[in-house]
Amino acid sequence: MNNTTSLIMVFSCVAAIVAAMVAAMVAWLYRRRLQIERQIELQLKYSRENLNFALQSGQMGTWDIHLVDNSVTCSREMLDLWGVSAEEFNNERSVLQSKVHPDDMAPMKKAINHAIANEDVYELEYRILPRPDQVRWVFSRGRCSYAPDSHQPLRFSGIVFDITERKMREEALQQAIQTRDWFLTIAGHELKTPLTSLQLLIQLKQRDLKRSYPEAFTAEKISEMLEKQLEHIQRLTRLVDGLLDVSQITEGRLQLSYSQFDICKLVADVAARFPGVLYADCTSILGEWDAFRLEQVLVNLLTNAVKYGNGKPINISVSQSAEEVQIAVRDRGLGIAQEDQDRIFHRFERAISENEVSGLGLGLYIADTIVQLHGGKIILKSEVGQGSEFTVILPRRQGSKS
Amino acid sequence: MKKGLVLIVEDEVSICSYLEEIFRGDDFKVAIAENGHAALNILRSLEVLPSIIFLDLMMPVMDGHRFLYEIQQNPENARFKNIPVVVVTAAQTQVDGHVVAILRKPPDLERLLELAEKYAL
Repeated sequence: MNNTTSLIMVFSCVAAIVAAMVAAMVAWLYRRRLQIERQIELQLKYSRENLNFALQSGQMGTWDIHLVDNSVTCSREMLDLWGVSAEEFNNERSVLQSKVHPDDMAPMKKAINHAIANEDVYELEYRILPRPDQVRWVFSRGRCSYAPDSHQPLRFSGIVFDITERKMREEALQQAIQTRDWFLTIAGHELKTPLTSLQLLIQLKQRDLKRSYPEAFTAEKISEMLEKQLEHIQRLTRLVDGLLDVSQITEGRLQLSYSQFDICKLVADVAARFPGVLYADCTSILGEWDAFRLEQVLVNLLTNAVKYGNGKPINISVSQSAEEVQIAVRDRGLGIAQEDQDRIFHRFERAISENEVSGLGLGLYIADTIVQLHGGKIILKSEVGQGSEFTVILPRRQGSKS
Repeated sequence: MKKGLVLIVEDEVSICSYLEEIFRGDDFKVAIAENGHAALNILRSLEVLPSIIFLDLMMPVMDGHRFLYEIQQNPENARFKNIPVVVVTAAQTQVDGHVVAILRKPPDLERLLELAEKYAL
């Protein structure tokens, strides 16, 4: 029996050892499983956090349409974008749709249907109206998931984010391109005018020569013709100068060269070139400015005054204080509407439509830039029908060196 | 013996005066309008219509496109419908309407006279 007893004991021992081992194994496995579970949980938590962080960084919202019952779940970010509270929303798809711009509803439905039918990615930019008076552009991207066996579309989900700012920039860019193109048309037209005059004048004289009209070639007639040709060439030169100045300004290459001179004399000289401009004499104001560029400012302001002045008297006057000199150009013409008063200082802009008055629409922009480079400014006071007053304010000492 | 009447519709004074000199020098009669609106007024005042119109496009008040529409499409102006029109323009532009030629500025003097001879002899 000893044998049996010892056999049992051996078995018991072995069984106990095996049991202990199994138990240890199970315990270890269990711990391992817990560990893995915890790791997975942690990883899930991290990736959820990462996703949330990414969504928040990109200011993205998420949406999920359950196609079976047409209910929707979406993130708080999306509701914020839509300007809808969770209570208002109540998982109703129609609440979200009611905020979509009416014109964008049809394209959206089409894009969604296409994506679902073709297992394609859904991408769309559209407008929403969080409030009736507020338009916001959003970009949405998503895709459909299907039941594995029946291939029935189950969920349509994705992200959405605000692209209003980008859209605004795009629109501004489009506008700038349009302005530039329009400017090129105007510039072409303006350059063609003196060219046409020149060519017609020359061909006219060629014809007279061919037909040997002696009366067309008296000293007086020739002098008159040359005078006219010079006029046309000067007009061309002014236009080209304007174009070159603008490109210098945009590239930041316009430099002032300061020298000391009497600004009263400069104003008197320029005013004398414009018949009908009344100059209130000032004695003498010495200072350091860029004479060439200031002359340009005065010419541009007086040209505008004549152009828009309706033939009525134009005044130019100079006054001074300890710190600054003021030159005022006053006309009694069309005047400029309040809403146009900022705009006309911009490039290629003018107070009235392009067809009404010739020129490139650069004069005021160039004048304003030159005055600003001097550290000064141009102030406009104007009323429609009453005329305009442009006052150039120049610091007596050069305020800013460019 | 004077030739037919040429109507010039152009806002630039110097171009008008050269064109006038060119056509007068070849014995055409000349009328000048500074824009489409003025041209319509001239047409309405005339008993004998011009034989040809030289028309600029970019003009204040009423541009060349509008003028062309007024004389060719507006039933009120049916009397002017068949006057031959030559467009003289800075930019090469399509026009809605019937024109006998589109000349780019600066137009060639010989070509101007050739067209005038053809329609306003």
